[in-house]
Amino acid sequence: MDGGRAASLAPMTPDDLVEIELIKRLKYKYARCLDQKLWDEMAECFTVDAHAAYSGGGYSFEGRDAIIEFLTRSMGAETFLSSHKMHHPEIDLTGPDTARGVWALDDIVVMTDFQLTIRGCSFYNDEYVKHDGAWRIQRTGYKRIYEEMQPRGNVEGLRLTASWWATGGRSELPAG
Amino acid sequence: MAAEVISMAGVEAQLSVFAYQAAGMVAGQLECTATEALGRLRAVAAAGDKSLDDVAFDVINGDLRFDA
Repeated sequence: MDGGRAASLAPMTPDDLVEIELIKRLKYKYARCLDQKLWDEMAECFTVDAHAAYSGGGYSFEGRDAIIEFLTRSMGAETFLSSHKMHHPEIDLTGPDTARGVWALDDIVVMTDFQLTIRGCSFYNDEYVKHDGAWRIQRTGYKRIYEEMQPRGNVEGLRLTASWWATGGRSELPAG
Repeated sequence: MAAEVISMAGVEAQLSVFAYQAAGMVAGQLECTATEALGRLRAVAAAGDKSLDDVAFDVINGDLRFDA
């Protein structure tokens, strides 16, 4: 699927907008848990049998436990600072308890050990299901529009002045 | 300090993001260059018949340290 609203879908209703808002909150929770490294809370975002295919399928996993294990083991270091911004959602309800969504992603990773910045832009294709009143991710994956990397050590004047972990989220620059 | 000893100089550009992350952490643990850290990671991978990413995940997760 490459995105875009299917012409065969029924006209949207106000009730649909409530469901779409709940799915947006699910995606925002996913992004927050990713960047704050809240893996237990992140697990609540997925169905038990969820499928994930990150980076064009370069990292693919079957099942919630495998997905969470990968995220924990790959992005768990506090010197791996990530910012994932999800926007431009195109969400379609495909049934009473099913939906799909296309999202734009802009992400920046700052590695304070290697002194490397990686940034890129992607589009997600997701599928969601609603169980017991809660929407969860059934399938997720993204393909890059672009990705680039830049060493930080030779950028004159560049200085990291805050980190959620190293400085408790507080800027090292003086206040006032 | 890691920032003083690590640079991209001499490090190949075709590594996974996680290999870079682990190499940076190991370079900090050993106070060596990133190239030397990568060599250590590759040796562990070869000895255990594991991928470089698998070893990197062990470093990132804290299961494998080189300064212990």
